[in-house]
Amino acid sequence: MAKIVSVHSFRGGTGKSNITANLAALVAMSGGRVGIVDTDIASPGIHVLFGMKEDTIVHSLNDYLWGRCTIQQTARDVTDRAGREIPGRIFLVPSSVEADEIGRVLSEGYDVGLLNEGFRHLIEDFDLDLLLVDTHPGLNEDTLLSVAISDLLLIILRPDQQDYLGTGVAVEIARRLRVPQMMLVVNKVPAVFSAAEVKARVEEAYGVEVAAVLPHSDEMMVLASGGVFVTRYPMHPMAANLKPLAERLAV
Amino acid sequence: MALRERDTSLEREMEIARRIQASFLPQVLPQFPGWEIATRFEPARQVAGDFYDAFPLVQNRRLGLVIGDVCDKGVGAALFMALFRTLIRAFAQQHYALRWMADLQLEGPARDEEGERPSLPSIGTTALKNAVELTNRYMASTHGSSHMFATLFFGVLDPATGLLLFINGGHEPPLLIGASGVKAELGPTGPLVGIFAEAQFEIGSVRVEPGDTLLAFTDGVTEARNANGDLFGRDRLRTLLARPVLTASELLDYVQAHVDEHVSGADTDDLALLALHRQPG
Repeated sequence: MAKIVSVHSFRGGTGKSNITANLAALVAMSGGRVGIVDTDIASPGIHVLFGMKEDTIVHSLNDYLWGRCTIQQTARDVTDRAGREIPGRIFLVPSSVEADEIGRVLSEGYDVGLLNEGFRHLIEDFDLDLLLVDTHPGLNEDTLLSVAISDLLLIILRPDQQDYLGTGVAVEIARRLRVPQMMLVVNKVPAVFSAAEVKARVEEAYGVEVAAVLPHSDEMMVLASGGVFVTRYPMHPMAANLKPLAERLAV
Repeated sequence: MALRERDTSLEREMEIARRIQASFLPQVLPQFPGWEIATRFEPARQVAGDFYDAFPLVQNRRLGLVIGDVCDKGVGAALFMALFRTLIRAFAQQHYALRWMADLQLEGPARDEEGERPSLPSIGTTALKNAVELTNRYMASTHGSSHMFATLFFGVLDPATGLLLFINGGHEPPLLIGASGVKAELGPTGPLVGIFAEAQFEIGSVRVEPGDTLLAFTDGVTEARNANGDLFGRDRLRTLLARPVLTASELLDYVQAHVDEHVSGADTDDLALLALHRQPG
């Protein structure tokens, strides 16, 4: 049975989409079949990491929500765009970057039950092992639904006072929604910090396991979302740090 | 002369009211391949408190079916019928609702036997909850002093699978009819609509299989009385339904003919019927 993992952060800019894409690539590199849904409808972007040009998006998540196509038609196989010789598959459901489409969702809303049903169709029809949901930062209805559906919630935060505060809210909500499993990933940690100390302090503060502490990476900044980092730099410490987490997601 | 003029004027006003009320019922019923919908509507007077509705939801992925009965008869009931019908349709189009979160926090299993969360919204549940709970709250809090309430059944059908999600607010349970008669009654999942502002309405579900027919009706059927005061009754209705249904329209003609025969000229209540037939596969 496929695992649904929502990747969330209370605030923007934490590297949530980047980590989602990299985890997907690592799982696919081990032979897994992974789906990614960009539910960050208000500020989509994960498709950029897979080199998908906006004008090549034939069907987006928005089209599915408005009844213009099925959810299956929105999924695009982006495995080759993540890197060469990946034995598994990566299917991406992008959100539209057209201003009118984003505006329509914000003004009209949609039946969130469509996400629930859409996720299940993706898992069945693409025979997925793992479905990663790239959520909108903060809390809104579709994010809460994604969190509630999830088998595992991955919350990304930076060592930043505002992130600490927001993560507390996200953890509290997830507990109330009784998400079966929750993990934290601390990203963009300055090199002067001890990873072990960061892990211990964050775990103590939230009572939630820190699954990875990712150091700030100049290489990743230079890549600037121009690709999937772990396939470009498979020997980089970043890849080594994410790999154990990816292995746990794939189980 | 003045009295006759007044009567004529009153008749004209009532005729206008009748026509306006008729415009609150759907002029054209939605069409979904493999499904047939039929309706009947007979006011006891020129206007009625009974109503029905049928409309597509979620970009034609679902079909909304409503039947309701506002207490009382005549003009007062008709005015409130228009209000109930309008609010149900309008609120059914509202998507934002986080009330499901409250359901998730209740005691009980977080996952069902199949490992899924039982109370998460699926397609149509937001429309159902919004339509009934917001209408109920508005009517109870704004028109509570009028003591006008309604019984209401609102179903949301997935035409692809036959799954029907529904809220029954104190309405006569619609009947699901299979090859050998009534196979299920879609009983109340909440109280009458428009009395208690904070009333809770649960969502029920049933699957309409190929060949099945859903018959929804108002108490103008079961409580139709003959000249001796005898009720038509639910048992008699169920007995009538122990035969195969060919089409939704044929079923309603059949039921209505028996009700008319039973009443045979005696005073009647408002009557509304709605049938949904799934053609055999």
